Amino acid sequence: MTRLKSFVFSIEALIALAAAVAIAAYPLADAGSFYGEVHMAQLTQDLLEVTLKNPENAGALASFASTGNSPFLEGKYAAMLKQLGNYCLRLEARGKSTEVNCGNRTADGAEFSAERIFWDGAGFTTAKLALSFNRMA
Amino acid sequence: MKKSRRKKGVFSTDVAIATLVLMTIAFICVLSLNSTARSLAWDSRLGLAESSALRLADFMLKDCGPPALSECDAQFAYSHILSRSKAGALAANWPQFESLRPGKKMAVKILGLDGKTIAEAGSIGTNAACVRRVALLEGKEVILEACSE
Repeated sequence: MTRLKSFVFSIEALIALAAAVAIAAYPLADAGSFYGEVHMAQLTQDLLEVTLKNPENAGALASFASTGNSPFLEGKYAAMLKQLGNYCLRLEARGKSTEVNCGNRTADGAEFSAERIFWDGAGFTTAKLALSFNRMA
Repeated sequence: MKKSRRKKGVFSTDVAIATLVLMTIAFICVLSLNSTARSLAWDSRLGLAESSALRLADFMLKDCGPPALSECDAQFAYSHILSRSKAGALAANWPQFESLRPGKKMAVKILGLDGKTIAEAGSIGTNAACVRRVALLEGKEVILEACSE
């Protein structure tokens, strides 16, 4: 009887030990980037800002708003994203939409967008630029 | 008498095992606490470095005072438009700026879209946090990289 008690205690102790090991071995959550979302929101604003403050880009945006096609602007965005990181960019104006660097991706995290009203030669138009982070499949 | 001895022996083993297990648990807990504390300290340092890098980049893009790079008219800053003369004087203006924040390592770099460095100032170690922003320099898109440790 005494031995049985001793055995039962050991099992309890072993369970406690196993629990402690499990807690200790539990991987700490990776905090990742603390200000990653702030940075993405800033980048979204930056991209629209440089689009509209550069006359060449602004002209291409006006052209995109009317035709829905602007290889020049897409090339510019692709070159900028190459230096900035693995982001997916979506540009919308007057119901037209185009995506840059969004192929072969899985939806991940929040999407940040910014809007500006600009004169496209025929009237005022709203341009919307959305940025999200790519996680390759 | 024999019965009593047996009981004592079993009790001793019991206590020994319990002590051993307790010590092992305590050791694991101390190790775990140590690792958690280190991780939190690292995260905290990284968070501060990121925040500092973001503020540095913002200052560079939107302020007139040297070594900020914004094109200015009197004290009005044209944000996201960098001044060529200020970019050229970046390295010269940097030591005075850095001396205002002793012990803090910071660096700024202007890169072309081809990845080539146009101007740079400051130096940082391997544990720095860096942010990249987009701006215009002489009508062309450039990348402003600000780092802080």
